Amino acid sequence: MAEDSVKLLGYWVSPYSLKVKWALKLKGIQYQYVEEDLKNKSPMLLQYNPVYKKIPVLVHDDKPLAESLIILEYIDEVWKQNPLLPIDPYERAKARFWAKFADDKCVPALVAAFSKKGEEQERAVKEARENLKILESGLEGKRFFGGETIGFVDIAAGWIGCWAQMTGEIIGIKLIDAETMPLLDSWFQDFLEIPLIKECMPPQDELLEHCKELHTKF
Amino acid sequence: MEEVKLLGVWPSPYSYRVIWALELKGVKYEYVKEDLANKSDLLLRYNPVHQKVPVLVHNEKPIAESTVILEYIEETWPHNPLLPTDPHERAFARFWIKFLDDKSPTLVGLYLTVGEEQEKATKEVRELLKIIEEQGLGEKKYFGGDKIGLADLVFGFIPVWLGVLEESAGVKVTKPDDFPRLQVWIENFRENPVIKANLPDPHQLLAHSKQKREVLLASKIA
Repeated sequence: MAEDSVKLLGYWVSPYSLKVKWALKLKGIQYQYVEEDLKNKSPMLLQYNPVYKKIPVLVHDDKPLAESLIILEYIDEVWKQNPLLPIDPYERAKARFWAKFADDKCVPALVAAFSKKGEEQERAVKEARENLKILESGLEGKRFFGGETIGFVDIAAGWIGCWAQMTGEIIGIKLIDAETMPLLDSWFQDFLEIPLIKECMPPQDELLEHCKELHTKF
Repeated sequence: MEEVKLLGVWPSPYSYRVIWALELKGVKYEYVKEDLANKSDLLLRYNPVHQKVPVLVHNEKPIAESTVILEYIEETWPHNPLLPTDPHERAFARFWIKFLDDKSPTLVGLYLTVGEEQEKATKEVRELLKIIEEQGLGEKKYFGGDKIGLADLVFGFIPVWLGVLEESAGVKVTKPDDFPRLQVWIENFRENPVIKANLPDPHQLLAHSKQKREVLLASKIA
């Protein structure tokens, strides 16, 4: 597939555009990457995602798509190699359930733990830990959510390991610990060690700097 | 032998989405009425993570979260398809389904607020309806295209519940000439024989909604 038929509008620190990069890389899809300046959104972004004006946006044959999990499903439907979702409908439902759980429950708690102070932060940390523990149950003792190899949920939620650790460092409170969440902890470590995953990550020191700077604004 | 059970509550738009999908596909199911003030052991066992309805149980395998259930139904019973075949159109339908769910706090905000806050909420809902009409529906007959689909079932909130929220909150979001294409869609939706045969009783819904609002507002002030 020609590179110019697939375009990804993203932002270097965004885990949402990272998910899409991972999916494209896993499937060996050539694409053109366009870095957006979120303080100065391009006319192209505003045209391609008028409803939310956010990244990531995947443009395939000039047709734009937004919302990272929806983009992942699209990629999986169009390019069948290295499938992200399992074949069985019940297993697919479980995968969608956990990807949604990570986005709806783990991420907001993580964001609150990062941005709040005092009692609110304490509550957010507690909630983040509880939800991460629940996410761990979704692994069902497997190495990855996808089984022996990574799949939909791994790509959708694996980034949380890195961001949670970074948040923990910045706020001085550990969010993921090997004692209470041993399987989740190993999963994050194993996932982030996978070469294609590692290759797409933003440079860790720059990411940490960026997050630290962001934290000062709260 | 297929065994399909749906745990739901009668006033919930989320339960109805699933009812409509099952009915449109002619899937036989047993409906189990839940009492959210007194959750059954069955519900807690089938949805330990969220302890919410709807939950679909197919041959003892539980599926929770209405949008996940809708996709499961579509994949398990592919006849009378409720999603387009083209991947881009499918993504478009999913986008709008997510849009409505993401904006539900805005819609419900209309109902949970009073005074100035409610005026602000009313304005926000109008803006939402404009986006839905212009960009979601566009010139199409249904959100999914020529036929009713999953996105329409989710937007079914508008014909069935929005009016009830407005009336119980004592507010009117739209005037008769507003959003003409959306109005046509609403009529088409309501006239669909399966939808028509599976609607909550509007009087009961209004009474329930009014009562719930009183309780919610009182707890806010307290």
